[in-house]
Amino acid sequence: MKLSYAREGGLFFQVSETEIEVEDLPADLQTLARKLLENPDDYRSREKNASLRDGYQYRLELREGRKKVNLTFDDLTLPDGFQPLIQYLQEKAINDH
Amino acid sequence: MRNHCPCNCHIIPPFVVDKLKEAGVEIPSQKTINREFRERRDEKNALLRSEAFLVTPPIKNADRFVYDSKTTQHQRLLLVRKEGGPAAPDAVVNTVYENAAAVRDYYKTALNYFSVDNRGADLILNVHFGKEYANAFWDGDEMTFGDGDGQVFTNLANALDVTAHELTHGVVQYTANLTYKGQSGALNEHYADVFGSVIKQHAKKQTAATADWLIGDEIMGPTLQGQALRSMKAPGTAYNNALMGQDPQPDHMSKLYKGAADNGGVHINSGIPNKVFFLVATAIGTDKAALLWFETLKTLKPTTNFKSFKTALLKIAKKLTTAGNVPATTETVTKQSFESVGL
Ligand SMILES: [Zn+2]
Repeated sequence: MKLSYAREGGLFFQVSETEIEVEDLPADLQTLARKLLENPDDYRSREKNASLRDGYQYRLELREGRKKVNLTFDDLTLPDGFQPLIQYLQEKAINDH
Repeated sequence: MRNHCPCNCHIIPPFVVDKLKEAGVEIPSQKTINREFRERRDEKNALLRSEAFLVTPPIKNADRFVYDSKTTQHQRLLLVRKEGGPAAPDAVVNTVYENAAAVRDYYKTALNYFSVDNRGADLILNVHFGKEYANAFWDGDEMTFGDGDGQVFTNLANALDVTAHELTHGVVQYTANLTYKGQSGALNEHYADVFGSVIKQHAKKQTAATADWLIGDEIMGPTLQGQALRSMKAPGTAYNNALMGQDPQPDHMSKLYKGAADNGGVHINSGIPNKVFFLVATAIGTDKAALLWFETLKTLKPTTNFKSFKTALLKIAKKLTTAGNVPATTETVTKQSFESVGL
């Protein structure tokens, strides 16, 4: 299972991207990624804040075989519990760069 | 940040929860926060539509409220300082509190505009948002600042121009409401930078000639001293380093960014009008240029592009010159400044 991550935006505009095999994530983050693939609607953000200025947009894409899940969040719609995953992927994106 | 856990629990670290309990704070669930947020917005929208609002607008006092997010991604988590209250033990809280007053007072005194909505709305400021969060934003209602990652940026709540930038996004929202994409989006960013720089110059008692015209130079990390987020004087020269890359801002229409990133380059193409503002301010003085820009903002449509922005500025320049509020040369200088960037 593959996980793609992108963070775009900011007062200093920047795009950070990375990709990882879910098996290479720490165990707790693997569990989260699997839950995401199985029940994406539990995490889908309800509405986009059209008034957000300088905030970040986060994109996660999970792919396993034919199954593909896309999720988009901003700083305020990022579900609780996602911060460690985002932090891990963001650090990886910086190191990849 | 939303809580999707069915038990409606929190992921706020236990030590933070303990601290909040000690301080007598009842932690609302995220569902409660979302509901309250929606209710606040619904009330505000209903009010904006009401006839009563147009006839007798409710006036508040632009009171400041500073909240500590305690490195979570929750806003309005712990109120740590409010208008007229004692200083907090946390220096960042006091700095953002003072900076918000500097912005509020400039708008009131120099431009006769009160808070973000000209009706004295509360100024809500959240600090210590997220973990090593190297950003600040306006979300339609309030300002939020991260501590920075310590490498590229230090704490974003410490810089007056950053607070003025974010608060001005609020002012733009309540005036022209410039659509946040393409050239109108770049004008939205431009206005935020203009008043970031103008208010910093005012606080430091600088003139157009003595100011550095940099945005965000005071939040740069230890290895990036002397660099900045943007340069209004010389767009495209604010930074060039391994951590950030190279400043992509154009200073002329011939270099206009036409890609899709950044909502069509809202933080990129703002370099072009930024340069125009620098040129006009240098010729007529920063405060006069700020007055011209602000009076024009009140007349702009959400879809204004660079060309129609020029037309609108020239119209207001004429009006202000006739009234004796700006120097007689203003219209000519403004026209020449736009021409020098290819407009
Ligand atoms: Zn901005």
